[in-house]
Amino acid sequence: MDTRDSTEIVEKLRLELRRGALPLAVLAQLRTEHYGYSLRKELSAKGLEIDEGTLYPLVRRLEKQGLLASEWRADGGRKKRYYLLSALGREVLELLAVEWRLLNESIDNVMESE
Amino acid sequence: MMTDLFRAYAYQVASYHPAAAREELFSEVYDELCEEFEDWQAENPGRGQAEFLDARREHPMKLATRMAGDRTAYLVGPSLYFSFISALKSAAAIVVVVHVVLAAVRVFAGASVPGAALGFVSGLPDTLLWVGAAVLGVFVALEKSGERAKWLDDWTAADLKSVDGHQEMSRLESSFDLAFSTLALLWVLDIVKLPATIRHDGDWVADWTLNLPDWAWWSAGILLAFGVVFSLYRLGQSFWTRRLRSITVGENLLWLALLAFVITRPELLTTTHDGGADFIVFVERALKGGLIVIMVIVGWDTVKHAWRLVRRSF
Repeated sequence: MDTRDSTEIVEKLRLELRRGALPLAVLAQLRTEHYGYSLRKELSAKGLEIDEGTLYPLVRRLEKQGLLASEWRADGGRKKRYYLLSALGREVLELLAVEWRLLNESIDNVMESE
Repeated sequence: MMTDLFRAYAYQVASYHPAAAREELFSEVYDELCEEFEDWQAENPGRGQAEFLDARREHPMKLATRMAGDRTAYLVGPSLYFSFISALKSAAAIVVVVHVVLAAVRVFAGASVPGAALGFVSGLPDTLLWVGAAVLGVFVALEKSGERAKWLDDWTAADLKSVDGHQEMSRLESSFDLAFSTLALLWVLDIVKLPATIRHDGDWVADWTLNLPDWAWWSAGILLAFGVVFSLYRLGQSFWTRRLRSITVGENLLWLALLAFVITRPELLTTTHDGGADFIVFVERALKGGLIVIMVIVGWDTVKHAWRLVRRSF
């Protein structure tokens, strides 16, 4: 296998890993209220780049599942949609956070044993 | 007035989505662009919206695809999905117009109106199905060949069309103009014939003639051919612009001049039928009355477009 192949494969797997972790990151960040761009900026400042084409379908899906509440507000001639974690979202986030830590530990254990 | 390219971009992204979702999507994309632009300008002082879009954004259809959460249709994948839907819509509009013209031609050729309407209703789904299948076939072939909508790669902000204060164009109106112009052109070219006879007192007056000089027929033919091309072009546009309104005003003024000439012609209709001369006068009056109604409609349309041009509210 040449280097180009491995780079492509790593990139695909990296995207898959990120895709799985993004809902957790978004839920965690929405413990405080954000609109789309401010949420993207906050996540980016914490090292998690996410483009609008990924973020908006994701928050819409999370809202549909009842994990987020949203509200439109006018701001300087523009309309912004603010998102906040719902009660169900908080509950789910707590459970997912436990799951995430367990998974992290397990993966670390597996990696170290190698 | 400077064009707000962000509004134009957000509008175009939203336009690919279902109508119910457009307003929210527009607001989200527009706000994103404005916010990100403010940050970007801090690092790139003096640079404008066009440079920002060229540096940071892709073709609106690509963003629309990602905003849709990778939507697919049948065998067409996300990268070609919106191109496929656009092609289907355009093909369907053309099929409907062609069927309307065909139905009208059947009526002119002597078929009854209910018969032509039945032919329209029964024939349309069949054609739509075949055309839809053909479009799907093309896109499935593109998908299988690994094509990834490369035609979207050359996009630049210069391709955006302003939506600031521009009135949305009615597809129905453009389709009607297309069907009407096509039909009238076919009649002027003698491909479609009007019913050849008029019934009068139990007799059929068959030999009536419309007396117009050659240049009037030529002018009508050229104007109608232009009308067909222009309404086809308008079908592909979303908004009225200064140029489109100016062309419409020019076209309407030419029609008004031609119609005025026709109406003021003495003995517009003649017949050699015995006893038909008096009757033909009545028909001529009715015809001229109809033409006056058309002139009023065209005149009103001209005033409407001219008013928008004067107010610079396109």
